[in-house]
Amino acid sequence: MAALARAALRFLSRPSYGCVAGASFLQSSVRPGLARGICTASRLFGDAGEKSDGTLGAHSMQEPQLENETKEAKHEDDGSRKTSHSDDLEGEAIAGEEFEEQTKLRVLNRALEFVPEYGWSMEALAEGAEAEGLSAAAAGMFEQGAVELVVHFVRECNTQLRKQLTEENARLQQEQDEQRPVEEFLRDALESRLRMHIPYMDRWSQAMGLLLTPQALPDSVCLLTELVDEIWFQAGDRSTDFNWYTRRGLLAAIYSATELVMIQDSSEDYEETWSFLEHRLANASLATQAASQVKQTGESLVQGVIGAAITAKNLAGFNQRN
Amino acid sequence: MLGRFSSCRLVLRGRPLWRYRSNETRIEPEEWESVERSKRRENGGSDGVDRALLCRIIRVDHAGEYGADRLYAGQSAVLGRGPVGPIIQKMWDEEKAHLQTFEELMVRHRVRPTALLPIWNVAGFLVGAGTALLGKEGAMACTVAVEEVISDHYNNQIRTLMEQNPQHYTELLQVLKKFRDDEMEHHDTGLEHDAEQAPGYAVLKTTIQLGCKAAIYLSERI
Repeated sequence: MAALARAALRFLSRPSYGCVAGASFLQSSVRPGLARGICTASRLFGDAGEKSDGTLGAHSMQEPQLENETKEAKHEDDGSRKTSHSDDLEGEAIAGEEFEEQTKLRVLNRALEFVPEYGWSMEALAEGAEAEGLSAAAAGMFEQGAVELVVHFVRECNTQLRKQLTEENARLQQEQDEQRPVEEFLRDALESRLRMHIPYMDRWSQAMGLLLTPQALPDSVCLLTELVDEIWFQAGDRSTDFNWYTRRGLLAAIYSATELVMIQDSSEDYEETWSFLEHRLANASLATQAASQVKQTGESLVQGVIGAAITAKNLAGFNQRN
Repeated sequence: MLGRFSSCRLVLRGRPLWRYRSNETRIEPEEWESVERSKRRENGGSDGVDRALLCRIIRVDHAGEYGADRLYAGQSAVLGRGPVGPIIQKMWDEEKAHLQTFEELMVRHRVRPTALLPIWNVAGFLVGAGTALLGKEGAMACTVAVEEVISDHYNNQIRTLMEQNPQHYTELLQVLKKFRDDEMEHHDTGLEHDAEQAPGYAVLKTTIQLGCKAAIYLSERI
């Protein structure tokens, strides 16, 4: 039975149809941990060969979360182990999840290299997994597939922009240079953020489409709001009233429009895109000026209405002093 | 077949196999993040601060102080030149200080303000001016009603934070406790100045308190 299991697993571990099928079959079943187990096990057996240890026996799956079996195995190995290793086990479980996260990150980062060739797809993820020394089935750990790759890329771009802007502001503060005008700052921030798409420009429309799918929509909206919030905060916006929303809404609209223009821009170094961006920012600043003027007028009107009410009250005799 | 295997574990030399990466060296325990940090991450943020809760508290309190500021502005617009003018002005100044504190907290923690601020702007002013038009007692009744709701609200927040983990929220707890005491003082001032003699005191108080509770509920979420 053990030999049969081992042989079955070795068959499944070949980076071929079998493994991907096995992993995806298990993904559709109830326990996602099993899929992880198969991927990890296939990776281990695929490369490391047979482990001739007595404790292996018929074991071919592993679940870091199951504590009883570890206890049994440890009792077999080391009878003098103390019983306060439930903390150890919890630590191991958490460490196991972190290992999975780190592996995912490695595969995602590596898969980005294959995007120009394979697009934002499971093939790119599989190629990335193989390039990292894992089996192609490891791409099965991304349940949402290509969407996760795009979301990861956008998140990385936002992080990079945040670092860039923070460093720039720190440098300005140190050298005590004058703060740049807000419009210029916004233009530079948006330009550097959009330039991060250039290596993937051929496939960017596919990425934008993926970001609009229902499973990606919450994430992509979140990322966009984080982006515009970060840019405005670094530009010096400290508003705590409704301006918070109008400014970020404006910038998000400008960013989305410029992204669309960039996709079909064929000019030298995207000159048309940057001039489009400048024009939209100029329009926006005009609009905000007009809005503040309207607000001032509104306030004066309100003052007038209050004055009229008080006058009416006086005339009607409600303000008599006796 | 799979059912049997799912209860098994891969173990090599007493350490779980997943600790080993093929073709690479073993991952040493020191390379992993400490368990405490990962546990903190599970709790939702560094230093054990529940960021969602913090944002919610600051957002709703900022909205509350903003509404109170507009309320006293409305009352002052009608009764500012009367005998209770100085009292209203004093309470208004304290609410302005509260608002400023929450604005600083909001910027420091990068919390978004509630999207309903323009509504609270107009509504607060109208309620303040409207009750003040009922006379000095009406204005005081409005103050009593609002300050009672706000004090309860602050108490609830203090209780929530104490239940979570008081050490991580020391500054915020201090602020909330001080503001709760200030609001209770306003409540008592309102009672001293004949709030209960306002026309339809019970109805007025209940209506205003219902409105305040609805505003609190909405501002926490929107």
